[in-house]
Amino acid sequence: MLKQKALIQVLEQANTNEVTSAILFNKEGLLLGQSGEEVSPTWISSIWACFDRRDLNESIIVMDEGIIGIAPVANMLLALKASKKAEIGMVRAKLRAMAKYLEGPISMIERDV
Amino acid sequence: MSSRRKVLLMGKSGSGKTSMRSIIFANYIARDCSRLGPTIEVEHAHVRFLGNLVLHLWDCGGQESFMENFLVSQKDQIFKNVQVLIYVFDVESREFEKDLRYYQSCLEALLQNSPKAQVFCLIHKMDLIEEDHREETFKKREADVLRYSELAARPHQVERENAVCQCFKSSIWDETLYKAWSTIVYKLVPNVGIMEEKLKKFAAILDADEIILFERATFLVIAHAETREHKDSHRFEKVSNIIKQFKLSCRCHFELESMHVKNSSFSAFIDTFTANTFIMVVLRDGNASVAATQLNIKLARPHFEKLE
Repeated sequence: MLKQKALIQVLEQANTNEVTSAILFNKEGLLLGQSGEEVSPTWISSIWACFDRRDLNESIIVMDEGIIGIAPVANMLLALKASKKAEIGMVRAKLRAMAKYLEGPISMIERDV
Repeated sequence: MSSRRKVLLMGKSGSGKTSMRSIIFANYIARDCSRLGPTIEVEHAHVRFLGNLVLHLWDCGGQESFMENFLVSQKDQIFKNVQVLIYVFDVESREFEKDLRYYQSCLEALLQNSPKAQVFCLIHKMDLIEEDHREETFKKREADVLRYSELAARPHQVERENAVCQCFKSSIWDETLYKAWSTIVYKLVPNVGIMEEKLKKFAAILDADEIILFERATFLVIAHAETREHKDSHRFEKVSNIIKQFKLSCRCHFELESMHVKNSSFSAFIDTFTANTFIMVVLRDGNASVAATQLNIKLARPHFEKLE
């Protein structure tokens, strides 16, 4: 089972160095947990769906207002949102570390469904 | 393995036996009940409850000639192998003494033929009594019923623990009917204890204030677990009543699958659970994730399917 509180505590750890929020959601765009400021999982999942191929490991979108990094975790998606002052390398490193950390537990949950 | 329970539904003519049976098991709404005619002799109804528990309802007509028959010539047939007797009293009856004597005779016949049966009495049509007098009238009627139960049970006391039965007040116009039937059904379902244990664990994992399990067809409460005390003790019956009314008002052929109600201080999920149950999860957090909760409900499902 997925403990929402525990998940949020994990996600909160990403919120430093200009990263303002971290969210985990499924491919339909439904939120499982989020920390920090609100981000719409719906449009992030639709962006991902546009690029999605089996070998897509991550995507970093740099915009005027900030940076968004997306990576798959088992059958779900993890996204980090950072301000425009953030270093792209740092966002990417955090995204990878967080995705790797969540991969084991989340795939275990999904296996049982 | 399917288990059968023979349930006798008895009481004076016009006391509302068939009406309540129709509301609980046949999706009638209260005002449709005025169309029901009197029951002739015995109407049998098989109700599948929780999948493999079959309630065999014997709705016994209440007119005096039938009653005499039941007590004399059909005594064995009626009162053998009974698991439950539900006796319905009309609270407004002008001949309450007479009703009580019939009750005593029925109970005596039951005790001779099925000494292990459980007995429940419903003091029905409580809505006809003014609200201020309800409790008082009920108490008075209950005392009478208990007195007559004792009278009937005294010679058989040895092997019988629940000789003095349980009384409920009920009315088809509010949630008291569900309350009474839920309590009755609760005693018929095997392994309710294990179910409640599991629900408690589930509630702890989800951090839920309360989890309630409903039977799918009737929406009667089967089991519940609460982690935080709730002040309204009638909430289960209210939910049963509301959901059932809602399902009926939809007037469509779609099955209710799931429902999500939330405001800033709580969120409640009602979801199909096992083949025979619905689950309701109440979380204190108004922003609880729908997807995560549904995922957890899905994950819990197999554990409860094993129990049925």
